[in-house]
Amino acid sequence: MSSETGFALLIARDIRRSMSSGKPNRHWRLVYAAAAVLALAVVATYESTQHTMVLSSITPVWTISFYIPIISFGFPMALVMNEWRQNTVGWWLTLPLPRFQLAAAKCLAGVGKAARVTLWTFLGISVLGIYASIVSTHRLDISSSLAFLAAGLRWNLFLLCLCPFTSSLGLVFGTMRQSRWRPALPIAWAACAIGWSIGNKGGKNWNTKNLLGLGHGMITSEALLHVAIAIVASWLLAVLFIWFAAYLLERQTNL
Amino acid sequence: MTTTLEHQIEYAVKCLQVGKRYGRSQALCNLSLSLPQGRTIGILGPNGSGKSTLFRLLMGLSQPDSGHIEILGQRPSWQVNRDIAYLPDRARWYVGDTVRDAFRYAQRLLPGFSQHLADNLADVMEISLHMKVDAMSRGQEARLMILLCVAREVPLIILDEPFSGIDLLSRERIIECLIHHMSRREVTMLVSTHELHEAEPLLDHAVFLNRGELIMSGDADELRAHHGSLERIMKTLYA
Repeated sequence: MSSETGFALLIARDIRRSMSSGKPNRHWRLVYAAAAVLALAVVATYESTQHTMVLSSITPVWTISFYIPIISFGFPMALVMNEWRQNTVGWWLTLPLPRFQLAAAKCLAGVGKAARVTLWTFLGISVLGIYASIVSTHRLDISSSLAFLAAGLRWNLFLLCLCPFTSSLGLVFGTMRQSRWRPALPIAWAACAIGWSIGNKGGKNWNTKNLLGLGHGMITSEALLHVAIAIVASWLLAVLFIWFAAYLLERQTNL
Repeated sequence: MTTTLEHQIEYAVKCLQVGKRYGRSQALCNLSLSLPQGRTIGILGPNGSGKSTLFRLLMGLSQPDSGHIEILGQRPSWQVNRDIAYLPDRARWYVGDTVRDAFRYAQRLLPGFSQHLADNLADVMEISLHMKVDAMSRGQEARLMILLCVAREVPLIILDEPFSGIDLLSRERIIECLIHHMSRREVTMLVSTHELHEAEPLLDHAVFLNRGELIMSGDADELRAHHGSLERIMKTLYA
C-alpha cells in the first residue's frame, strides 16, 4: 500500500459519501430535483416575458453562488462528526496514515464536494440565463453568451479558491467539537465573527465583483494581484488549520 | 541490543504503570502487564474494567496519563498500526458500502490484507460480495468487520468485543472460523469478550481486569487446571 493511493481513496470515498443517513432516498431526491428545475424554468420564463433580459445586464446573477464557500465550511465538519455518530471513528483514526493526512483528506473532500456543487450551480445558471435571454430577445447572441459564461467561470473559480480556507476552518470546528477543546468553541465562533467583519471591511476596498467582471468597474492588475495574494495567504492559513485539526485528533480526543 | 531484541520477540504488548482517567473516572490504574507473542489472549472483565481503554491506548486512539506502553516493541503510533488489525468496540462499517467496497478499502488502506483470504472467509461466513452494509443484519455486519481484520497477514490482531450484539449462530460461526484460521498462523490475537462460554476454546492465555487493575493473568491451560474453567474464574472473581 502506498500512502498516496490510500490518501486519494479516502478523499474519493468522502466526496461520494452522503452527509446524513436521514437524507431522502435516490427516488425522492430525483423528485425534489425535478420540482426545483421546473420551478426555476417557470420563474425564468415568466421573468423573461415580462422584462427584456440581455445577458450583459444579468451577469451579476452569478453572485448567487456566494453560498459555496459557506457550505464548504459545513462539509468537513459533518464528515468528521459523522465518524463519531456512525461509530466508524475507530476505523478512521487507527488507519496507518499520519493524522495530518487523515485531517487533510477530510478538508480536501470538503473542497471536492464544494467543487461538485459549483459545477452544478454553474451549469444551472448558464442554462437558465441563456434560456431566459433567448425567450426574451428571441435570438441567441453567441458573443454575449460567451462573455456571460466567462464571467461566471471567473467568479465560480474565485469562490472555489476560497474553499480550502473555509473547508479547513470547518474541519477545525468539527474536530474541536469531538475533542477536549470543545468548551473553547464559543471563543472560536467569536474569533470567526471578528475575522469575518475585518475581512468584509478589507474586501470592500477591492470591489471584488468589478474585479471579476461581474460589475461595470475597471479591472486593474494591482487589484487582481491583491486577490491572488489573499488567496495564497488563505491557503497557507488552511494548512495551519489542518495541522491544528491533526493535533486535536492526535492529542486531544478522548476516545 | 540483544536484550531489546529478545524483549521484542517475547512480548507483543508491554505496559508499565499505565494510568488513564476520563474526568473523575479512573479507567486504568497503574496497570503493568506483559502479553506473550504468538498466543490468543483473552482480556476479560466486566463492563468498566478497562479492556477497551487498554486497546485504545495500544492503538494510539488515546494517550495514557502516565506510564509506558510498548506494542510490537514500539510506542503506539500510526506507523506501528500497519502491523495491527484492530476491530474497535461498538464499531459499525460505512453505510453505503458493499462488501466489495469494503474489500477495496482494506486492500488500499490496510497493509497485509489478502484479497484471496478475504474471498475465502466471505464464502465460509456466508457474506455475498454484492451485499450492501445498509441491508445487512447486525450479525452479518459483525462478520464482515471481523473478516476485514482476520484477512490481514499481520503479527497482531486486536478484537474488542467482537461478539457483542450477535446472535448465537453467528457467534459460533465466527468462533469456529477464528479457531480454524488462528491454528494455521503464527499470530498474536487479543480478544476482549463477555461471551466467555463460547470463546473459551479460542483462548490460550487470559488476563483478568477489574476497575482498571490487573487481578489475574496466566496461561489458560494452567488456570483451567487450577480452577476448572476460565468462566468459573470469572464468576468467582466478579461475584
